[in-house]
Amino acid sequence: MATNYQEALEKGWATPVAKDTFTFSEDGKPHFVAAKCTHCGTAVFPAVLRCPNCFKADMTHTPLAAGGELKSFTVVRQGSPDWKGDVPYIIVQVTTDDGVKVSTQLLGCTPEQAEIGMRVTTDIRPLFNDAEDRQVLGPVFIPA
Amino acid sequence: MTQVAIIGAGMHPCGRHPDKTFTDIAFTAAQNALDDAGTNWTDIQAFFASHTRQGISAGEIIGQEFGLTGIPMFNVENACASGTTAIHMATQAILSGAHDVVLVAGFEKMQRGVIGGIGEPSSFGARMGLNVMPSLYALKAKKHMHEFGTTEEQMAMVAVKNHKNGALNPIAQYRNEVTLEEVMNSRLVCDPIKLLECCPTSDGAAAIVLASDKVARRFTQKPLIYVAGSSVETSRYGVDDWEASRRTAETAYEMAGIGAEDIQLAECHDAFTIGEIMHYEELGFCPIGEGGWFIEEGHADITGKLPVNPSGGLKARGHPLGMTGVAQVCEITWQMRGEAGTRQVQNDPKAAITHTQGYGGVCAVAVFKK
Repeated sequence: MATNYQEALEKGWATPVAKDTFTFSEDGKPHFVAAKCTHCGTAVFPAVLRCPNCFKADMTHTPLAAGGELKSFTVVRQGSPDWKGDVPYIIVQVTTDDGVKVSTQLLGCTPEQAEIGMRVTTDIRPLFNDAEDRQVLGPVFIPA
Repeated sequence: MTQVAIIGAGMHPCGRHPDKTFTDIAFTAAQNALDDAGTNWTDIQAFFASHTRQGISAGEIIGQEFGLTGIPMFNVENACASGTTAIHMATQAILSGAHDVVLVAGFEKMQRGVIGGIGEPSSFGARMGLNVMPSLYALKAKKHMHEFGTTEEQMAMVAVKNHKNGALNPIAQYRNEVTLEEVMNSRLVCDPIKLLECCPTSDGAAAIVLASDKVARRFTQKPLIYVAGSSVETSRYGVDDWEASRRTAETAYEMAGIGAEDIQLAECHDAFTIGEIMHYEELGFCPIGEGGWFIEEGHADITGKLPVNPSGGLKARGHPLGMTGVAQVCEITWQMRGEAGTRQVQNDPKAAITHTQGYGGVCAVAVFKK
């Protein structure tokens, strides 16, 4: 499915939720993209211009490990008026297997199935349609 | 060294005021504070106006209603910590010697429902639906429950206490008591946070007059409440959820020359009930992880050893964003003077603390002495 989304993005049928937040590896698997400090190795998602740890500006974009562990979650039943998708949806804090904290949505399970400590993996999913009726795709986690 | 005293406090009631402008409610609060201080507008040497979304130069618009005296006016926006930040800046202005009498007014008129417009609109967080205020606290709540065994009932107790206090406060938005069952059975907003654990959106205004100790007694014979310490700080990378509030409070305690063990009264940022439980810990009232027990054992009640949010807090008094930090100091002033009526705390507090925090990782704390 991710491969189809990769093609949709390349051909402009779909659009990413925000720039430089995800990429696909050669085998078509999606990964979150972090900014990694070439000086001290600190990696941050979403990407920032300067390292929050050593404050140097030597940041490069790097794909994160697909897998991770759920550290906290909530089920949004009444969202911000800015949110264009459906409710309820699940927000999670995950630490990836390479140690980076990522906050995003959890899809592919019910609110009752979400629990702290569960294993998750990265996926790309449609969130809502934009003004031109293109699918807006975002990097999320699903149960591993 | 100069000391900064609160010489006047005034408010406009919180609630829904569709028939009034922000100028109307802020003017009323400011006039009440000027009257309480025994000052006139022409005594005011600088004006700090805190609000988050009332538009360009809202402070000047209010100042023009009082008269064009030519004084410096500053609009202060720091999310939910705007009011405490404005007081911090006003205090610094007096300590620097620039001014002797300063007015601070915090005010806001808000829309109903979950607030929007948070964060850069094109950012990942905003576009993914992650910038939902109750969700930010809900994520902390789930972690607190998992790590420390804090219960949903303990969180609900914060709402019960603050509604009980709000019922005694004539300027509170909600003057009704609620039961534990009503809180627990209210609908989920962001699990585990329920509707009756969320502060409301509100219209309201609060103001205080600050003066140097050199001139304070020219205006009032009421007890002087001193701003003994204040600090505004922001979050750091890679630390625990509680670190910023703890660090900011420690700065304010150090400046005041006291510790958490000396605090006898607090107004803190109970935007959502888990917030107040975490603030007990962050401000040093109990060890990290024991906030749930602090509420359950009754320590934070008006009759407890350390009353917290006797005003009703954000939960019941209301949370017009730019107002809150200033309203907290109005409550501290009335309580420390012994003017708080039926909600008067019984421990004659000699030292008190106010605390707000907001989106973007800002935290603001002030410590007061009589």
